[in-house]
Amino acid sequence: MSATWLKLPLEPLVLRDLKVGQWVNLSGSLYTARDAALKQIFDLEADNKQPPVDLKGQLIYFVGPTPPAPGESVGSAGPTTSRRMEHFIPALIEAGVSGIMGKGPLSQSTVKELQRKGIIYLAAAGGAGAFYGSKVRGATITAYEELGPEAIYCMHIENFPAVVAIDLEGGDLFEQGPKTYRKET
Amino acid sequence: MREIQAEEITSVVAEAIKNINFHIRPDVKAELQRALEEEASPLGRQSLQLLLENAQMAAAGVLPLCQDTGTTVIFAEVGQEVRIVGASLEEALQAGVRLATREGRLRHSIAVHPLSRGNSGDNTPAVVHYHPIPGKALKLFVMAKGGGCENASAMAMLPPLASRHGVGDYIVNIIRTNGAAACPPLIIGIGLGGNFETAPLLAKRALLRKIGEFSPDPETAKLEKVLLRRINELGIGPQGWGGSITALSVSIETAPCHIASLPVAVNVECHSHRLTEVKI
Ligand code: SF4
Repeated sequence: MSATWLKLPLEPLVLRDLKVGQWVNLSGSLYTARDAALKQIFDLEADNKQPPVDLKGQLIYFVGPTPPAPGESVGSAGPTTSRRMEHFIPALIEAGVSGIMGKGPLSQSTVKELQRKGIIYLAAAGGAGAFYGSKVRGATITAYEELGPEAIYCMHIENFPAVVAIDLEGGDLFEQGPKTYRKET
Repeated sequence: MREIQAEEITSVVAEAIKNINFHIRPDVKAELQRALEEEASPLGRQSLQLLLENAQMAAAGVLPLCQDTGTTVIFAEVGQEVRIVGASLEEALQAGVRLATREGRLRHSIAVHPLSRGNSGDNTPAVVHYHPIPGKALKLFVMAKGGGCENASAMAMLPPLASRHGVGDYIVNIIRTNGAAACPPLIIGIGLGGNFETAPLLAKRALLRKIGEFSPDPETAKLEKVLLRRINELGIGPQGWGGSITALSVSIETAPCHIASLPVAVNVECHSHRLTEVKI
């Protein structure tokens, strides 16, 4: 598969060229977050308080990794369901993220909102935890350590493949892909 | 009476849990390879290739197949001539979960309370279903069930005289709405009949069947084939990225039900399908 190499944090100018269904190969740093940490960030913002991590311009990866083997930083680290995070996505938008990454579709209203704000959605292959774990070169807990697998990690990844699922033109892989192969009568 | 030491059960369960989290089932691997040959979408094929590579990496025993190492679900078939010594069967099984979590470095995925959400820290409690059987054997089906696919599951009480097609519509619609988020290609277990609590249990039991095997009852087998075709015609494809293979199998278990009811439960399982059967 031919993939576009992308450095993290994402540069705003490259986002425009990314198209739905295209493979990207990510290298650099990102932040992880999932349900419990996102709820905390959401609640903080509702209280007009700053989140504990500056997420501006960052790619947020929805993941809860397994514990690391001795000498490693994390274990398996594949994507979790993005739809579950939809309620908190406005908080991420507010924090100024440049992209989000997870698995599975997002609702039409979120697709529109992401497009309006120029935020990209990347889909990683669900269930490929070992594969993605092997692409993590280092990880440190940045916030909410008490949440265990749901803590926020700053993760350094290398050659991490994902597919562009929502692009800046509002294209949506989870809408277009199935439409192409639907045979239902 | 045959005596079985609780410690032995604990270590067998722990080994089983570690084993399924690192080693893809041969039937699933064969199905993924078949899917790779048959899948119409290039993106779908590439994602399947990635899953096969993932399985190869996990087999080294360091990184589990999936980071969601799941809820442990155990179907325990307990011989009536078996006596467990040293601890209760329940304690022995839960200790196995604890041991596997520690030794296998599995993720802590169980919240102690549905609302307050604290983490149990060792993946207990496992969900255990006990069934007495005649004889001296202790048979355990051990499953690590992912949260994402479990969330895609559903049940309904349909009108008792719903047609086969109508029942199929309900099931296909669940997959249409929820399937893409549950890590397709999927394995789908369906419980038809029983009542409000047994239909979902039948659906989970249906997942215990070997992939590629159809029901011994010809009528049920026919429905399984029709549903598999209809679900694949949805076009959801591997990962929901579009494609011809959305599900690898559909298994249905049935049970008698009340004349006023037609319970149907759909238990969605992902391609990780971590399941094994052990006999003590
Ligand atoms: S649905 Fe299955 S494969 Fe996907 S993340 Fe959950 S456990 Fe892993």
